[in-house]
Amino acid sequence: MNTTRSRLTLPFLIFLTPVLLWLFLLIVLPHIDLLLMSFRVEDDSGAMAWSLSNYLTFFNEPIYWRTFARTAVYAIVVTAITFAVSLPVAFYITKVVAFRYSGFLGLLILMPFWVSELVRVYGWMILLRESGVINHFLVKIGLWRQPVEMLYNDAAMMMGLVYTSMLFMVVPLVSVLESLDDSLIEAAYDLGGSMFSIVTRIVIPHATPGIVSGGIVVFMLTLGNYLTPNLIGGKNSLWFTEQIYNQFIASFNWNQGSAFGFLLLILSSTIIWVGLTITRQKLSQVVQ
Amino acid sequence: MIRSLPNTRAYTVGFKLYVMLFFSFLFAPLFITCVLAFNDSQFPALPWKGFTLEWFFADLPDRVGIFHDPINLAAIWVSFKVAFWVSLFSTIVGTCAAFLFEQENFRYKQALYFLMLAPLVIPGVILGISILLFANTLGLLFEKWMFPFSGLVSGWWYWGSFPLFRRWLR
Repeated sequence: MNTTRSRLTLPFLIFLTPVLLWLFLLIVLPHIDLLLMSFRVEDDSGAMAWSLSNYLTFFNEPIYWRTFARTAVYAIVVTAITFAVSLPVAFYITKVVAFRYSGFLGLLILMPFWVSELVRVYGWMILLRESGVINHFLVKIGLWRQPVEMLYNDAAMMMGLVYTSMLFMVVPLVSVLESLDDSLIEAAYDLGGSMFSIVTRIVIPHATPGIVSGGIVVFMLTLGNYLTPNLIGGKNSLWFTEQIYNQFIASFNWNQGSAFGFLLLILSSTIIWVGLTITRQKLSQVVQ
Repeated sequence: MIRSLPNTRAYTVGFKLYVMLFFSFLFAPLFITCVLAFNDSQFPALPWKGFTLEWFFADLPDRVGIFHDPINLAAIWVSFKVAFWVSLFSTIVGTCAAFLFEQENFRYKQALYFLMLAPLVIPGVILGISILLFANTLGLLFEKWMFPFSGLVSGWWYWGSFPLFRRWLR
């Protein structure tokens, strides 16, 4: 294949210009700016100087790196839970339910995502809080004597994160399971394969590209989520994006915030790289 | 196991229950939000105090429905305009990118493709703050270069992000 042929024809330029403008004005240059900004610090006279101190602050203050580690671990756990919840649903839609319902169920899964994340999170707050709907019913049927605050803890926050990102796991799984030939499962069944071995040796290996791409998207969305940890998790559940937000908006220390942002970027890239290496997938194949 | 194979009753029923549970989990917050929009109460909570449309149409001292609330209506309009232009520009850039990578061959095609995938593995918050920073830097540069016209430029601090396009095209 001749990949070096580059004639500057008119269509080529028309296609290339918007893509380059978008990539450089909105992705590449802002990130270079972010990187430069994170190495700048205001000295005693108020002038800006090059320094590593923004990064040193991160390692010297336990609250920052602990929040960072906590965010990373929770994001991985949320991704795993989302996968565990979504795989049976995707399997049911593509393989188990009668054909005539499978399109309807697929549409039903998309529907909650037509409204914004904020509305869905407020819906959960209405359900879970002390004066909320679930408490109302549980007290009414006499299961609990008095209402219990179910918001503002890690479990509720993780449930909210799983809820927010579920769609982005189900859709790639559905599309990858649709390409799995039923006859493979039938053959395994006829040869006496148990359900466990069919799932682990046929379904999951076939679905790996979908699992990895869904996993990447869910992980990114969870790691970069600000709304759900803030609203459902409350003050108890520190999330690293809240630290970044605080540096930018509350402390007005943009340099410190840039350093935190860059560390988060390094973290997410590293974890995704590790994930791709373990599952032996390539990013360009996974995202197709 | 699948629809073409014989399944035990426990498997079918259990799976059906799980999927039903999943869908109630999926729809619970939306359902409750929709229902409570019609509740005749000052708070979005139970007990149910009767059906009302006042949260949509009322213009009372203690209760203003959404259709009589100019601030929220203006906010909806702004959201709509931003969404419209964002969809338009994303479609244009996306279509160009699709044609570029399908129809054309050029040097560094793979590298550019890889760069294009990068935003997928960048958390949204990082994209946001980097664009904010860059817009700020650009605004400062503009002011420096265009000192004689700085009055014209200083209001355009958010250069490079969508508010600019919005201002242009309004």
